[in-house]
This record gives sequence, C-alpha cells and structure tokens, in this order.
Amino acid sequence: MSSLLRLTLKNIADKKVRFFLTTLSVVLGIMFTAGVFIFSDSMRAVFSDLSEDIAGRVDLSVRSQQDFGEQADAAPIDPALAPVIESVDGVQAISPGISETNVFVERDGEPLSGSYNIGANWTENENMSNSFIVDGRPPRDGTEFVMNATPVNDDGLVVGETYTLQLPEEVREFTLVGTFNFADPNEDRSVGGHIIVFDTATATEVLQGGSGWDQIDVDVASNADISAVGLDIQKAVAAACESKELACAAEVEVITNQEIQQEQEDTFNPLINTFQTFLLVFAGIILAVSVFVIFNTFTIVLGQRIREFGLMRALGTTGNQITGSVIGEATVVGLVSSALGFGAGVGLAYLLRWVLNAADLGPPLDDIIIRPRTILISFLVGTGVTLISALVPALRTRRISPMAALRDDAGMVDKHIPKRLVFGGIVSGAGFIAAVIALMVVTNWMWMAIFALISVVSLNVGGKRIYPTAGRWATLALGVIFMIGARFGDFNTGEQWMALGIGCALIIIGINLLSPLFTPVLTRIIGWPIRFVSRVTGRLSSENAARSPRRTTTTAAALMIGLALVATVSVAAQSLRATWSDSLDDAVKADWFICTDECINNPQASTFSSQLARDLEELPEIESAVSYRSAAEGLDIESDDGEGVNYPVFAAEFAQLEQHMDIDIKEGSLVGAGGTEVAVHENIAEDEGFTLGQEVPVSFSTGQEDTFRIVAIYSENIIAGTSWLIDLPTWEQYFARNSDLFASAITAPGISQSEARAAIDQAAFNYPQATIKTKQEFNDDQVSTITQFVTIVNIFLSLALVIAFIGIANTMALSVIERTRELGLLRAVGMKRGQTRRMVLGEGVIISVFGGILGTALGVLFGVTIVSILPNDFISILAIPWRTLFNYLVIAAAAGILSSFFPARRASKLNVLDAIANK
Amino acid sequence: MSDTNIGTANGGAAPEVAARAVNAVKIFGSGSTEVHALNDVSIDFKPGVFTSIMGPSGSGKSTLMHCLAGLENLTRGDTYIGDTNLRTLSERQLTLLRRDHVGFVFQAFNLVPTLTAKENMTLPMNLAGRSPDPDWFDQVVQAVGLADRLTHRPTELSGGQQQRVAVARALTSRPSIIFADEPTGNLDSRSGTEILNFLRAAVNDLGQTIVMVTHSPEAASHSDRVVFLSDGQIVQELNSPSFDDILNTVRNLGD
Repeated sequence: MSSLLRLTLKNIADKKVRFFLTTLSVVLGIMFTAGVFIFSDSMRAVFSDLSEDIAGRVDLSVRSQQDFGEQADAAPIDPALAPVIESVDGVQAISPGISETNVFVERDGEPLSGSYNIGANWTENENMSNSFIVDGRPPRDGTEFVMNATPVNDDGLVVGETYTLQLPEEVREFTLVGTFNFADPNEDRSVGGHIIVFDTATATEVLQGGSGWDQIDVDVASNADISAVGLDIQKAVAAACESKELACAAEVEVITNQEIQQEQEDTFNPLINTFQTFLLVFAGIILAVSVFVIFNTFTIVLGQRIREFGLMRALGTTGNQITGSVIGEATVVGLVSSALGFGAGVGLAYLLRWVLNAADLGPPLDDIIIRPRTILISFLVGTGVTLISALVPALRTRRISPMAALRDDAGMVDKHIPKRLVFGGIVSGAGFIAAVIALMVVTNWMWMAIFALISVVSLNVGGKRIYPTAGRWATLALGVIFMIGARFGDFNTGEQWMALGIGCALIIIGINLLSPLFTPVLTRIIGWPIRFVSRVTGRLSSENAARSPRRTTTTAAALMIGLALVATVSVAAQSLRATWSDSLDDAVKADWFICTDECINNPQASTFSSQLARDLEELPEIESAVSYRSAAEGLDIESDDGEGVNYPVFAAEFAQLEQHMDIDIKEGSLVGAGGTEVAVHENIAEDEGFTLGQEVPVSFSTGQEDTFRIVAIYSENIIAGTSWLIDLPTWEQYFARNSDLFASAITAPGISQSEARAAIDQAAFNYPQATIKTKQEFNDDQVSTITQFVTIVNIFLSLALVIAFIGIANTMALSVIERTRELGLLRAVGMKRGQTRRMVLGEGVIISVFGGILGTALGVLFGVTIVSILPNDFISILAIPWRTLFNYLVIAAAAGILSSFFPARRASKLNVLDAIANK
Repeated sequence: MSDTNIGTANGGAAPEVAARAVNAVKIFGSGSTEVHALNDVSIDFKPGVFTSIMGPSGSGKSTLMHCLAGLENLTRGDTYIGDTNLRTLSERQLTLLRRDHVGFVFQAFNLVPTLTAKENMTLPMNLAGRSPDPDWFDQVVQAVGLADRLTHRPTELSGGQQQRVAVARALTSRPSIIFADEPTGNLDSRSGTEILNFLRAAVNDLGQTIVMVTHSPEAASHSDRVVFLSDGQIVQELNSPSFDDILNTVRNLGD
C-alpha cells in the first residue's frame, strides 16, 4: 500500500494543473465559508467590545420600563427623580443620561455620517464619565458641543470653529469647543461612530424636546452591594411615585452594567447571526455546485488514466487497492484545497476589512479573529465535499479489467445490474408506499422529508432492477408529484414548503439523471444555429458536446442549478414588484410624501418631528397633511390559550387618512372613529377570529392597558400592512415617541405642482432629515427595496455561476487533452487554427446554453409554483421577466465562450505532429 | 480561398514535379544531443508516380515525409509542393496548402470519430467551405467500395474499412499529392493488400501522385519507385522493382 501511496502523490505532483483545476471550485467554496466565519467572528468581537464600552463605568441605570419593543420608545425619566435616587444609601453619585440617534454635523452643507450618529449629554462626574477630553474642554452652554476625536481628525474639523448641526427637530449653529476619546483615555474606541455631545441642559432641550432624560446613571460606593442598592433605589422610586410627589409616566426599572452590556450585545448579535446565516446559505450553494465540478473532473481524469490502471491490474494490483489509491488522491486534493481555501478565506477577511475601512463603511474591524471552529469546519467541509464527489468515480475504478491496458478503446464500465423483477417490484412498491405516507399520512415536515428520502432511494434501487432508467424517471415523477402536492395539497405551512423543497430538489436530480438520454438530441438542436455561421466546425462542436452525454450533462448541471436559483428569484421578485406596484397604485392617493432617507414602513427608520405635518397643514398651497407612525412591537393581546400575542401598530389621523390612502376597508368604516375605536388588518381578524364591533383588551410596552373596539377591517398590505391601525391622538396616549415615520400631503385645488413643491421645501427647511417625494417616487421607493434585496441575492448567486463556469473551463480543458490526436488529425487535413478555436468555443457555448435553458426553464417552473403557493396578500400577480431571463441565457452563452477561451487557444496551438504522435 | 496556386492532379497544366526536396537538412535537438534526421536530401516526385520511401527506424523517412507535407519545418534547405516553396509560407498558408493540395493517410487514427464516413471523406473540402464534385465523389466512393457505409461512424467500421475511408478522403479533394504514412501498418494482410491496390489504382486510373512511407517490402512492391534512406541520406533508388529486388536491397542495407 505504501508504494501505492507514493504513486498517488507522484500522480498529483505530475498533474499539477489538472489538480489545480479540480481544487479551484472547492477552494472558492471554502474561501467563502471561512471568510464568512472569520468576518462575523471579528464583527462579534468588535460589537462585544463596543457593548462593554457603551455600558461604560456606570454601576446601575434607572429608566422607564419597556415590556416589549424598542427601548428608544420608552417614556423619558423625570429629572425630579434624581434627588430621590441620590438620597438612597450606597449611592455615591448620579448622572443624567441622554442619547438620540440621527444627529449630524454639517461640513460644506453636507451632513457627515459615521457607522452610527448620536447626540448625547456630557457626564460631569469624572468617575462615571466614559469620555476623556483630548483637546479643548467640555461643553458649557447651548452654543457649544464636543465631538469624539476620530471623526474630528479624519474630517478636518477644527476646535473653536462654528458648525451647523442637524438635530431631530431643527438645524442650529454650535461651536466645537473640544474633542474626546470614547471609552479609553488613550484611544478613541468609538468604532467609526460620530458622537456629538452637549451639556445636559442643552441635550435635554435639543434631543428630547425638553421632556426629560432617557435614564439616570448611578455610581455605587465601593463598599456597598450593587444589587442591594438597586433594590433600594427601586423601592425609593416606587414610594415617591406612590406618594404623588412625582408624575411617574411609566414603571421604572433599575438595571446593572452587566444587563446594559447584554442588552447591547443582544441588539447586535441577531444582525450578525442573520448576516452569517444568509452568507452561509450561499456558501452551501457554491459547495453544492462544486460537487458536480469535482465529480466531473475526477470522472474524466480517471477515464484518461484507464490504461495505466489496467496495467497496474495486469501487474497484480487488486481493484480495491486501485480504488484506495484514488480515494487517497481525493483526500490529498481535499486537504490541499481546504488549506488553500482557508488561507484564501483569511485573505478575503483582510481584504474585506481593508475595503470596509477604506470606504468608511461600518465599524472598523481591529482584529481578524480566527477560531478553531473555523479551521475545523473549513477542513471537514472541504475534504468531505471532495471525497463525496470523488467517491462514485473512485468506486468505478475497481471494475477496470487488466485488459484495459491492452485495448485502445477501453472505457469505464458501469456495474451490470441484473434484472430481478420480484426484488425490484417489492422495493419499488415500498418506495411508492413511502411516497404515499410522506404526502398523505404524516403531518410534520420532518417526517415528510424522511419518508420522501426513503421513497426516492427505494424507487431508484428497485426501479433499476425492473428497467435500467426506471429509477431516474421515478425520481423526476416523484419531484413533480411533490411539487403538485405543494401547490394543491392540503398541508400546513411547514409541510407545504418542505414538499416544495423536495419537489424542486428531486426535479433537479431527476432531470440531471435523465438528461444524458436526451443530450445528443438537445446539443444538436442547440448547435444547429452555429452551423449557419460555420458549417463544419458547428457540426463538430455539436457532435463533440454529444459524444459523452454524461460529461456534458454534469458540466451543464452546475450551471443549471445556479441559473435555476437566479431565475426562481427573478420570477418571484418580478411578481412581488408587480403586486406591490399594483397595490400601491390603488392605495396611494396623496400627492406628496415626506420621509427620512427611506420612504418605507420600517419602524427602525429615523423619524422627524410631527410639527412638520402640522406646519404643512397651515400652508395655503396644501389642502391637508397626515402624519404616520408605526411600532413593530406595538401592542399585546391575550389569545385564546392565554399566551400573549404581539402585533405591530400603525397610526395616522383617521379624519384625513382616507383622502390620502385607500386602505381598502373590507368591513365597517373609519368615519367618525377615534379614541379606542380602531381598525385591524383582515389577516389579524381572521387569525384571532375578530368580528366588527368586538372589544379587545390590549396592553402596551409601557405597561398601560385599554380596551379597543374594532370598527373596521382593512386589507392594504404594503404601507399599513398587517397591523392594528389607530388614530394619532390614541398613539400619543400610549407611545413615547411622538415624531413621524413619514407624512403625506395633498396639494390644494388650483395650485401647481411646482408651487406646492416650493412651499413644502420651504416648510421643511428646518427638518434636515426630511426629504420630499412625489407619489410616484414614494411608490418607486417601496418597490426599490425588493430590487435592492434581489440584487444582493443575485450577487451571491453569481458566485455559484462562477463555479459553474470554472467547471465548463475544466471539462473543456480536459476534453482538449483527451482529443489531442483527433485535433492533430483535423489540423493535418487542413483545419485552420481559427476553425479549431471556433470548434472548441462552440462546444463550450452549447454546454452553457444547454445548462442555461434547462436552468431557466426549471427556475420559471419553481418561481411560478412559489408565487402560486405564497398567499395572495403577499404576491397576487404572476409576472415572468422574460427579457431578464433571455439576458441570462445570452450571458450564459457569452460566459461559455469566455470559459472555453483558454482550452480553445490550447487546442488551436497544438503542434500538429506532436498531436498525431500522441498515444 | 486558396493562397497558393498549384495545378491539381486532374486539372490545369501539371507542373514538372508534384513535390521536391532540395538539400533538405533537419536537425533535432542541439549540442551533444543533436540528431541529423535529414542530412542534405534532394529528391523529386513526378506527377502520376507512386513512390515508396523505405529505410530502417530512425533513417529519417517519416521526417522527410513530414517536411514535404508542410507538417514540419526544415533546419536548412527547401521543400516544394508543385512550384511553391514551403519555406515562404506562413502557418496559415501551410494549413490551406494541406487542406487544398495535400492528402493524408496515417497508420492509425485517421478518422474523426464524431463524423460519418461520408463527412470524414469530405472534411477537407468542407473545411474550405466547398462541396466535392458529385461525379468525382461517386467515382471515389465506388472505387473504395464504401457506397453502403457512407452514413456509418468510424466505430461501426472495420480497420480495413476505416483505412479505405481515409484513402477516399485523401482522393476526394483531388490533391496534388497524397502522403501515406505506413497506411497498412495496422491492418491484416488481406485488408492491407486491398488498400495498396486502391492506391495503385488511384495512380493508374486517376493519375494521382502518391508518396508512401513503409517498412514493408511487400507494400513497397506496389509502387513505381522505391527510395531507400539511411542515416538521413538517400542511399539507393529502385524503379519498378519486384518484391525480391526490394527484399535484397533491404537486406543489404541491414534493416
């Protein structure tokens, strides 16, 4: 065996290029996987440090309690609580805490933006302050501010100069009187953020509208027990509220430094985790596509070495030893590509860090963190994927006969499968029963998957005993049945999606297993147009693509899967866009929309003062204006089983809403409604079994409770969405945030569009965050969010396409090597270099278009099915982007030319005599 | 289409010689590994003559053929097809020359496996974007006796049949000269004799010029003229030799 191992290693060393091509797809897949892990681990570390820094040197914080939803929406703390807390035993010092997002400093009329942009108050107490003056001094009055040192230095701001600041409700001039380091006296650890700091009185006025503080931070004496002091504070505050000395808007809570830190990490980590999972899905797709590429390369390379294996067999090597040596080769290839991929992944992380830091996007990543887990996964997955892909070709080498050494035309032989009707019938029957169980009996998606797997394996094992291709047809048929089941069957959501997934997967596998049967016909049809350009070379291209159907199919399969995914996404996205455009055309009636940067119902988006809508209302050019607000976790109701169910809340002025927005009321009416009279989306009404006039007890994040009466059921899906729709005064009663997410306005009769625009522009001058959009721009904004998402998805999917094209390049290169003598003959009898090149390029194009057509067709099928499965309130219009799909095919053909460029060049440059002599 | 103007076997005024080599020298390698494959060879091939080139392995017979056919460049000296000096031609012009004026029959692997017998025969003409003259094509097909095999792929043909297709391909484009490299080397004696009879007939009936490289005195005995090479030089020449004449010469040369 050791001599075999030596042979294995020698083989790899001899065929470096060939093995490099094999490894390339795994290298890329592992590079992506390792890069994602390293990058998200590094992000986590940055945010963990940032969370620690944000929690700072404060022992305890006192703030309004928020049962659910955003802490930013919590009621402010009354400054009158300060003396109450200060008088508790063990409290050494207190300090007010105020912070607000979306505060910008302007330079040359443009706001400077960092990875985050906040305004805050200066902490006077030096034991508690987490900011350390570097230059100048702290702010003292309403004309001064300080800022963290990094952006001041980077953007060339000058201490002593006066700058315009964009504040939540106004723009105002302030003088920069100092800079500070955040969290560390020696280094600004603000990770790319912009922190603008005022003295507490000014911060209360410009950031909070004078309504109080966000929290009161507490420094506990070093000899006191922090948690005991916390409890005492809680009691003291409760007593003060009880005795009506103070107006307590909401319950007050006391939290520790640890809890603040945890809370911060909890806000960052889900984002990083989602980011990581999202990217790992694409890494998985890349690796799945790689399987085809590696499988193909091994099959071809081993096929080319068949005489060598025959010789070894003739000299007394056993079939198992040969298979063992091939598996050894695959393991070495796997390990090497994992190592290369991992190395490239580290490189990718460094590159990404450099790009992000250079472009000033997001927080700067200090350290690139490589966990043992990342290394382990890279090597396990890389080697595993290579071994799995090489297994079937490796097992085939076992059956090579010693005669292969002596014959000229020896090929790999598939194991002969004897016909055994009874055995085949029984196993296939079991497979059929498993399919019936998966579709009709089980009620859980996991069992469905298990039975589907049993079914497809049994049908394949049993089917081929009855008829050679029966198993393949059964696989495809099963896929179609599951897909039909997903569309028309009576399933719960989990089962429906599992059935769809199984259907898609089996159809892809079935098509892939069956297409060798049709490859010769299909490649001739696809190659037919090429023959008009060039008769002989076109014919040869088609015939070459047809000569080893399985090789062509597997090469094309990688592209097929990639394009199927891209096409599925484009059909679904186009349908979603069409549905949204259509619904928006019906729903949106107002002429103007005033939003912050993104005009979409995203409760995380920044807001602007409601005063703007009221100002607009006063304008003679404007007939009416409406404010809109929303909270993702707006209210709780108690469902039938006693569990709390949380729903979003959307608020607008009922009196004018229907002139601005058609929310498509199905039942009831909003006319004259207000107060506790509200509307709910029809989905909520259906889920909860609400009827018109029903009274529902609700509770809010502040802990307040009320009973709402349902006076209307609406069905608008995009702007209000699946929410509880309440009147604006009702919102103000229960939600601390009183700024608008967006506002709409209707032009007064007889006023031109440009007059109205000028008037709105004037009114909005003091609201720097607000941008003005027409109805059409507003609608486009909604739809553009889909486009953005699809673009990102497509960018990552295109990586899978790159792998597929590497596969085509690989196959073409190996085919050219294999056909050296034939190419020599063609050149000897007078084929020009250009013709030789065109012949090879033509074959590449045929393979790409073959994969492209199959992939696009499957993508359309999957997309149409998904659109028809999705509920109508999400997607109701089926729109197939034929033009885009056609473009994908053209791109596939062009990429086919590109990927066979080097093999074609090699073929055309072969020395004729060497080629003929090659044996 | 054609960059070279050379009279074909059946058309125009035939030039004095179909091909010739003048002081041809071919050196492989350099320094101590230098091998003189051709050492100042000069020879003419007249139209309508079937010439065999014989000689021991390494005598330079294949190299001479490759250089005459434009597959390989000489180190010194010149080779001509008709009146065209191959040294003056670019790679592309050489390819066109081969396509339009030279026919090839190799020992093995003569056919493109993806094309039918008929497509293989017309391949050089199709590469030029032309179709063969139907009457001529029929005549060739009849001559090689493949009328019922035209739509078959090479894998469906016997070795002898494959070689007959190769000969037919060489004849179809009516080249100035056909080069055959051990055309019977891979065949049993019956199929071999068949092929040689075809070549003979092509010369006798169609006026074709053929140059054949061979080891076999039996094969060479079908030709009009036998040229013997040894160590890169022409050492003897026989005209219309008998099998025994050839055999004796081979023995004398110590093959």
